[in-house]
Amino acid sequence: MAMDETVAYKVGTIYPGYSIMVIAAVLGGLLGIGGGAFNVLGMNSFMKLPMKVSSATSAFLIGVTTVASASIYLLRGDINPLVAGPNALGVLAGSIAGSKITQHLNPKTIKKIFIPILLYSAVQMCWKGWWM
Amino acid sequence: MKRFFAGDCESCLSNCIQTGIILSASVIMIGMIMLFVMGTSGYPPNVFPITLTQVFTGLLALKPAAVITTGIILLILTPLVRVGLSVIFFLKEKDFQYVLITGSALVLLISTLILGKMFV
Repeated sequence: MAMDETVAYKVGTIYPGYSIMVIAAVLGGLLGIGGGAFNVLGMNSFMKLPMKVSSATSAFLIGVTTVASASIYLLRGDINPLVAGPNALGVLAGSIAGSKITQHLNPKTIKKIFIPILLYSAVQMCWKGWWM
Repeated sequence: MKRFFAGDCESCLSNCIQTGIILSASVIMIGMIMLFVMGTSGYPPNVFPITLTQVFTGLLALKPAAVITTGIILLILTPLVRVGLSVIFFLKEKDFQYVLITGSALVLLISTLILGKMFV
């Protein structure tokens, strides 16, 4: 599992993967967290895909699937352009940088970066669920 | 494995996404520069264009909020166009299993657009 190397892999357990993705999508649509965290988790642990393949697929898929919920929010007038505009520019710059950086990183490092992000969103959701 | 490395189509789809992103990012950027220069969104506070006609008329009147919304609409449309293009490419390759998969994704995306409009 290193850089500049072709890693052979097999896609395992597609059907449990399906159900994880449905749960991930519902939660992502409800909470507005994009669902990417669940996506990577589902693909990496349940479908046995390598880390880089999961994060690339997830990043790609989210662009396409978020259109489903984003278009509903936009048509309902829930998106304030003055807030969304700067956000979109920042996210675009960040995701371009991220996709370039990930090619030079060890999969283990990516996982280590991923852990605090998952922990943070878990704590935040618990907080929102119980105390707000 | 051939279908995953069909060079031409892949680079065309990648170009499609990159063009959409650069286009929408520059439109949003122009809108934000206009917002800072003009000092107003062109609408009263907490009011912004929602329907396509509102966005379009606002765009013609060069209202910053409408320009930013146009950029956001372009950003949302980019993946939709990309899925549409991939249906065409798979049709060309006569890969009907993938035509079915991408086609159903496209139908789902367009139907949420229409349903989201209907059940406001």
